[in-house]
Amino acid sequence: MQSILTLQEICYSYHTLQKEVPAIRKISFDLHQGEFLSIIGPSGCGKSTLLNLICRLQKPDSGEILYRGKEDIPIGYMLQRDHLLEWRTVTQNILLGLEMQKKDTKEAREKAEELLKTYQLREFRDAYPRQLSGGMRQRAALIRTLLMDPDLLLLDEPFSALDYQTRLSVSDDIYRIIRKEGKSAILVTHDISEAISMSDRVLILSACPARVLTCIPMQFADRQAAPLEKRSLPEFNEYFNRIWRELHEAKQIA
Amino acid sequence: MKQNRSPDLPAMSKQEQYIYDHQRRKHRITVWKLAIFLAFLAQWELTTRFDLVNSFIFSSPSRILNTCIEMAENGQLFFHIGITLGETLVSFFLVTVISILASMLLWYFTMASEIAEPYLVILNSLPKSALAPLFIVWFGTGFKTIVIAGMSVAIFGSVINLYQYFRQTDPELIKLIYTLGGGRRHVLTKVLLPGSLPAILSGMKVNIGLCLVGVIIGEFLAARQGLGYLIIYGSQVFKLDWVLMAIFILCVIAMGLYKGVEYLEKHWGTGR
Repeated sequence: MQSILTLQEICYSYHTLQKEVPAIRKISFDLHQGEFLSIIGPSGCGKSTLLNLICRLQKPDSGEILYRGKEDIPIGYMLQRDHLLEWRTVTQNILLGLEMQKKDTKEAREKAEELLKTYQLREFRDAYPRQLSGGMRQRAALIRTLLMDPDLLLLDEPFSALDYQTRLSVSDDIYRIIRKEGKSAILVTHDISEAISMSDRVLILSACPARVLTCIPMQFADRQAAPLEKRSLPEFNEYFNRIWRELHEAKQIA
Repeated sequence: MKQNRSPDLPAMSKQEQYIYDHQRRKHRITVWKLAIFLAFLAQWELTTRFDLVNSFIFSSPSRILNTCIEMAENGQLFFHIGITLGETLVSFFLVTVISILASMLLWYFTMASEIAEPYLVILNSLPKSALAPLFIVWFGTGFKTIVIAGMSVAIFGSVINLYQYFRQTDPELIKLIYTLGGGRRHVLTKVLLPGSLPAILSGMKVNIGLCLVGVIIGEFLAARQGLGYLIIYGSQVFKLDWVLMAIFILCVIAMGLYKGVEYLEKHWGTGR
């Protein structure tokens, strides 16, 4: 399968006046076209930094990031909170990216309209974010990202600000949307269950500075199962224990 | 609180009672506000009329009213009010525009802002009346000097406040702009400016008052017209009717300007 993203021995350190803090040490992995990868690790291990590097917001100290062998591909980044701008309507919010890149065309608006319809936000297109529920806000944020037509989606704990009920249903929604649009995605999380139920592969990182400890493919007998259904499949517990053990051992070594 | 109405009226529901109590309280407050004002005027009028205090020094409501009418008839009153009001509004407008532009520049050029910081702090805490004599030497004794005096009181604090507000913007919001392919310019136009509209408007409420203070200081020292001039001139020739009338009108103007900006705030700040 063709890989859309390749990281080769990425290193990155933060600098303060007191000292240099290594955050990422020699991380390498591949992401295949259409694959959903979860990255899991202890908090503060540099997971978000890794996404910033992939999204080109920061530059690695050494190592290389290749995008489908090329220099550049469109990347969508979903942050922990939806960050809808309170003074813009839902429509104005989802068009923000296109507006800044001067791609706010008629076709783009039609596509926005279509996505709003598909993801049940059509009635709310002229509403302000404060009038939406947490789940609806997160869907609007996803549409904003999808409208940029990214080949790769980066999700930085996008559900962590939601309550548990909403979180389960929104992650189901978002999983379906990403699969339907045929996007590749990387999800950063520290929720083991979320990682197992959403992804094709789970990458486990060590505590700071982050290294790849192991990478486990998630193979469920029922391949069509939605994330919520996967949580009650027999494989789920096995994977859960395995990942938990890996993380636990990593903590003891550190 | 127990039922306040007479027993022959039908009993109120809890909700009706709540609304009734609320309105009653509001009425009381209004009545007291007015009563204090009227009592003050009445005692002032009476004590001067019965010569308990000297009406030559303390003037009196009726004398102020007469002066008002007299000056309104020959047009002087509106002339002076117009001058002061005009100077205040011009300096207020300039303060608003310049402080928004300046804080944008400071945010854009981070190093410049760090370099400028001590200067801004000093200029902000410096008593502006100390500068007024300089303004007279530099800019003469006209409209320009008064407007600059008005601006000098408000501008530095306004720039500092707004710039601080820009800096406190959630860094994640700024990151969002970058992840959506925007640049620094977009951070300013899409996040900082619209996001700080409430701060800009509440700053304007403070600034309108400060501009009036500065304008009056300026008029004290350098004017041949305006309410500040009327106060100084009146005190020099012992026409305290003029002084007190001007002060009274200043109260009304200050209140009016504040309410005006408050109205803008309600319309722009939350109406969207």
